[in-house]
Amino acid sequence: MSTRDDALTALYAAHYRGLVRLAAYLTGDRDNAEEVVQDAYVKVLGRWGGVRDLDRGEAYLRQAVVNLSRSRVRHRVVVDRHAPTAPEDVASAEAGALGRLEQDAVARALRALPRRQREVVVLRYYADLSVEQTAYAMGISAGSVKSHTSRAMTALRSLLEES
Amino acid sequence: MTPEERLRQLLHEHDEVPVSGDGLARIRARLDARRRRRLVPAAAMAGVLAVAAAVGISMADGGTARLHPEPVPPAASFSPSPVASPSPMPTPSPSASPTPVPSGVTTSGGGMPVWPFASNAQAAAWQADPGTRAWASEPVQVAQHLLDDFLDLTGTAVGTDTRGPVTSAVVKVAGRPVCTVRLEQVGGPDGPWSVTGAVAEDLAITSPRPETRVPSPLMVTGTVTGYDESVHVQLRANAGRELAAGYAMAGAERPWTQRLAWTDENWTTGALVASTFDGKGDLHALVLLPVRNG
Repeated sequence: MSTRDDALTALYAAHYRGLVRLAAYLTGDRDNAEEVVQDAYVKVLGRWGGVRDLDRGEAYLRQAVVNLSRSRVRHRVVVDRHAPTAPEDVASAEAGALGRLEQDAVARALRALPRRQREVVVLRYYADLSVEQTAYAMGISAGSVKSHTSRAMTALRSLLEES
Repeated sequence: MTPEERLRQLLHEHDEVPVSGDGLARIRARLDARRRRRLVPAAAMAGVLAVAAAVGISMADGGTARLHPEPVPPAASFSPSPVASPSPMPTPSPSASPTPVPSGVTTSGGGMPVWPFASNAQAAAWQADPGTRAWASEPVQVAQHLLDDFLDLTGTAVGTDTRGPVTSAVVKVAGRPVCTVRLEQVGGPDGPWSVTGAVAEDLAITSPRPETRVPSPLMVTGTVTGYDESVHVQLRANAGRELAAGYAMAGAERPWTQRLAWTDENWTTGALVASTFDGKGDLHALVLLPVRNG
């Protein structure tokens, strides 16, 4: 097995599922999240510089997922403009527990946030990244991460109160 | 429990997103197909012996060699469709394949890249290891970093418009567009994005022409529409340092002229930048032309 394949296997085992969930949060689209993540692996490993970069693989992958999720959302916005209006998501019949309702409300509120605010929330509170790591993944400054986080938390509170 | 802690808990408790189970095989197959696509044209260009040697090295070291050990010939794996470039952006001739500009760099739309990558070698180095410039895979982020890092100006790069192999990013200040940055991929279809020019509605450089050789001293001329103002004109090397700068006084609908002179000849590719600012000091308009030392 080549070193590159070793790197792929290791990065897949360690991060694939988590990145799929990250993409699902970022795009609000569970069905296509896996495709986004596979694109990210191909993109990052396709230009792989060698095993010396393995430690940075997760950061590269995460950044690629953020970028590809943005593209996916932009594309969907265009498609949705020309598509018939879909019915609102309805909670499943099994979703009776209070916690589950709260989770659904959070997921809906996340989808309603502006893109950058959604990204900082997901990266900070789901991916558990520091301010600096979030800044790197989003390609913005640490100060911008803080301001987007502050605005996002305010907006989330408001959205959750409405729901 | 703070709201942040509760949010973190809810996000982590939310349902697992189902995965197909064959993700690893799919990624592996796509990477293999991609590698095959690159190796075949490289062989056609470099010759059977050279490629055989390169592949031998790659296999001997267990595949840890860079994925682009040899320059990929431009027409081999990079076939964008012709693009209609918005005037007055520097407009390379439409072509069925990427055009190597005279310096030998290959770009998706035939423009001359200025920043952050001005050569195929720089693009190949990035592909091997993006380092702190991983953002160069996203054109809108390159436009943002152009302002933040290269020009040290305040503005926000917003949505992009892609036409074939060329992408344009609009830069806004206080919600108002100040320029449109043109971006192209350098070195191949997986290469990084680089700036090949920027235009503005209210400001233009009429001389020199884009992508020409400029000697010192250089007379830069242009036009500005709107009220009387001063135009900040500067020449920057690809590496970022300012080579020469000055302020030209401009009047509405009248050409402006600024003489630039420099002694540092240690540069090949540079950017001629003109900018105007409003009364509050905010960027009002920005134009960028790629030029060569000469």
